[in-house]
Amino acid sequence: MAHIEVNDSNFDKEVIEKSKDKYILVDFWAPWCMPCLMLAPNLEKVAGEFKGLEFVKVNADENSKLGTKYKIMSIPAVKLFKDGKVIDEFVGSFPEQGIRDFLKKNIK
Amino acid sequence: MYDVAIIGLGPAGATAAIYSARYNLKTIVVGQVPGGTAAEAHKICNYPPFAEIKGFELAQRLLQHVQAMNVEVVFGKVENIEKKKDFFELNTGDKKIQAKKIVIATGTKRKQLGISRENEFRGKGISYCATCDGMFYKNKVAGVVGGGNAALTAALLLSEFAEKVYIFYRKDKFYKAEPAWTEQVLKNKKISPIFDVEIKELIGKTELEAVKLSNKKEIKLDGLFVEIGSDPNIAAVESLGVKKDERGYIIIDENCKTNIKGVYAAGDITNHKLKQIVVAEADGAVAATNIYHELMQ
Repeated sequence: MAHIEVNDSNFDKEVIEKSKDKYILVDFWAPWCMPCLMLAPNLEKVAGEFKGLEFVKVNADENSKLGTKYKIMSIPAVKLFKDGKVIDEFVGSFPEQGIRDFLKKNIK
Repeated sequence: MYDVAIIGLGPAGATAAIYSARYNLKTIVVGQVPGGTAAEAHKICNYPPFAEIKGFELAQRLLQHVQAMNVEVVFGKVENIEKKKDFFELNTGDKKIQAKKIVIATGTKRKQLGISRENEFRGKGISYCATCDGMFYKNKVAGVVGGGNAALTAALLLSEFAEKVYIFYRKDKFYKAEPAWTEQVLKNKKISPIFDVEIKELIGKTELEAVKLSNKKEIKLDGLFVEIGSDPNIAAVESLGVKKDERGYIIIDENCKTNIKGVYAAGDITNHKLKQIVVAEADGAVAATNIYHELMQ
């Protein structure tokens, strides 16, 4: 599954608006965070298994407004959006099966 | 069937893989984090010839080196290992890997504080990776628990962002850390060490707001970084019955052999006292070389 990079200026359009029709999985990351780099391919792969789900990434270093708004204090921070709101989240690197379980639990 | 399966992608596992590939052994390495715990180090200043290198950069270079060799790399976790008649079978959950010899290089995992609400505040003020999360503490107040090299380097990194950094340590001075780090910490005006204390309580509504210390004082802060050492990462190999020392580290001989034929161990998971990158890499080389000789016999 391809992903798009979302930033402070297009977050409302790409995440808040779009989450009215589908689930959006948002990965807050930074380039020097090794656990983030390990998690991203797993997220991308598992997200591709779910219909009605889109996967996007936010560079938390370059987009401090979003970091402040969503109170990001640890990365990787993964948040699942629906109808403009965070419905569930986790912090830290997860194996594939952990991500799958997280999504299965939340996607109806 | 592989000649060698290596578990762990830190300095020990990566070096074992590189040496093994250069001996033309059919090699596979399974690991979760390239660079292992070294990947999270803020600065590494005792790994010649790099006067200073970031842990993240070292981890990337290690991985690139392994990938440039004729080695299969699997990003994943080994759940358990079974000893068969004359080979070993590694189970990663979705894959079974068979190999004649194995190298255990699973390193260590971080200790948690083990106090109430620690998991609840994870990502909401409690962190185990200063290099990952330090930047979120710009002009904030951060605390570090611990008094070893990892704690002191975390405090130094945080002082680049935070307005104030506390260090909470249960001893009366920094006995364990390298004097070079201690000196830097003690002359850093943003860092305030508090000795002879333990964290007793984590306080906050939905995010961490303060900590209560064993001396009854309450300190307001925005985040707490836990750097109190590590435990051996032994779960995957428990079923093999390798001999361990009283702290749970695998006992090896000078050839990196364990008590089980065909099972080698390298790096921080072993009973070597000095847990350092140079030691781990040397172990990896020794293990791979002895495996080569054993297979050639």
